[in-house]
Amino acid sequence: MSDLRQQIRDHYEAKSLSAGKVEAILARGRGGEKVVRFPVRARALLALAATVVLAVGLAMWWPHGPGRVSFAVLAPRVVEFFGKPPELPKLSQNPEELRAWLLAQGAPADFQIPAKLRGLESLGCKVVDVHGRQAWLTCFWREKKPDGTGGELVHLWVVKREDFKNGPGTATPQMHEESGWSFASWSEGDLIYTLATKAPMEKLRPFAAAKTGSSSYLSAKDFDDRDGFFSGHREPPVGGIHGDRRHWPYVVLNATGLFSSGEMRPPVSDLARGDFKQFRVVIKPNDVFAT
Amino acid sequence: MTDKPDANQSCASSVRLDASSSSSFTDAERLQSGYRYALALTHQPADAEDLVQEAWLNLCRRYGRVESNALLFTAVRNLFVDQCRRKKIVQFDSIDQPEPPELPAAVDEEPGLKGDLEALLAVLRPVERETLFLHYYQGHTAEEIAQLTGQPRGTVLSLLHRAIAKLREAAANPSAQTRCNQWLFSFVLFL
Repeated sequence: MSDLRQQIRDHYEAKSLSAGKVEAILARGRGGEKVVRFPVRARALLALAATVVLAVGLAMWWPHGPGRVSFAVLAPRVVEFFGKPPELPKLSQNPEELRAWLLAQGAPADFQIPAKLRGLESLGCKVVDVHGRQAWLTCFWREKKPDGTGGELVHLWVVKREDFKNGPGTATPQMHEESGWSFASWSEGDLIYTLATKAPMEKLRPFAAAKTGSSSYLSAKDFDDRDGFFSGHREPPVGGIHGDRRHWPYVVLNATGLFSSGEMRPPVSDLARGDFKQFRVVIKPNDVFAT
Repeated sequence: MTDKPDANQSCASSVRLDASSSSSFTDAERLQSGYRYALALTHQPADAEDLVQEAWLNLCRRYGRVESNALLFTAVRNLFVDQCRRKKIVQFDSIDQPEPPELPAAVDEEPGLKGDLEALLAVLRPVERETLFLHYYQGHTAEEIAQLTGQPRGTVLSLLHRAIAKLREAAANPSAQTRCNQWLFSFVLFL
């Protein structure tokens, strides 16, 4: 054995931990809990699952975030869409058939055609892209020429509320005119309905006032102002006008709640004509009339 | 040239190298052995103590016990390499020390050194002290050290020769380092 080897051995042999330190380390080692680690594959799967959960979470959050499109873009898109004669992939005179076709194309299940439009003859429908969001379009004949060669149309656009921001928040139609078109928009559930026609607002108002027909409330602005009174068209409540009860119960609501109530007697002249849908009642602007 | 210990050392080869002797060690003896190896790397008793304690506890947490010296040495070495990286310790070889053209197969027959070995070992780099320790204290051959540390056998032999040459030079000229240190100290004071 070389001297150097012996020297180095002696050097390191002389170095040692103190007995107390050794015992302390060994005691800590014995008392230490064993760390149970997932196998590599399990850890990879766990990481993958976490990534998927994160991605799904982001995807669910994203449409509610800044990625939503402003609802203001819909009206210009309508004008642009009808700038040239559109091609409608589905043509039918039956609105329910068009609705069924749109549902098959991915329209939300709660999509309903407003009651006032159901009485109209339909033309066709299409799924339209509005800045990357889907809109379900249905076209109706508002006024048809006697010879059946054409006429005026009213268009129903339905979009998802989650796809658009700053849209109408209530069932009360918001109306405006733009580029010679009239628009009435309101929301119901998760959907925003928009009626559009290339005509002055008075042509659109009767359809917008009725909306989907599910609400018994009418806004004062749904009525035509005439001699300080508001008159309008409204289906009579069941049993309210038939038989000997020739008057309707009604309430008028304003922004603070119940304004007045009573019974409304239709004009005798209307009764004589048998037009029981005509009525006159004194309500103020922004009041809501309900039967 | 950086000369940090290589972290890519094969643990499996280490276990294989030391498997025959591992069963005869008690935990206390194994811990002492690991401490000396840590001391060879750090050359500072306090650092070596911390190093071997952390390595020992890591192994206990992971496997429940420390099964072999090789496993402990590997853990100590990896921990030391991590510490060097964290501290960004970069060491340079002198360009005045060319590789030996031909290395003898063994460096067993070496005369002893004069002087304090503790102070002499301080002039070596960790990787040189480690090689000396594994060869002269642990009794590993250059081939085994090469497997243990993941370095070529030629590099191990080169490290051995350089380490011995440095030790001899330091032993032959003990005041040079001291004078240099005194001069640097005076310069710092002057500043």
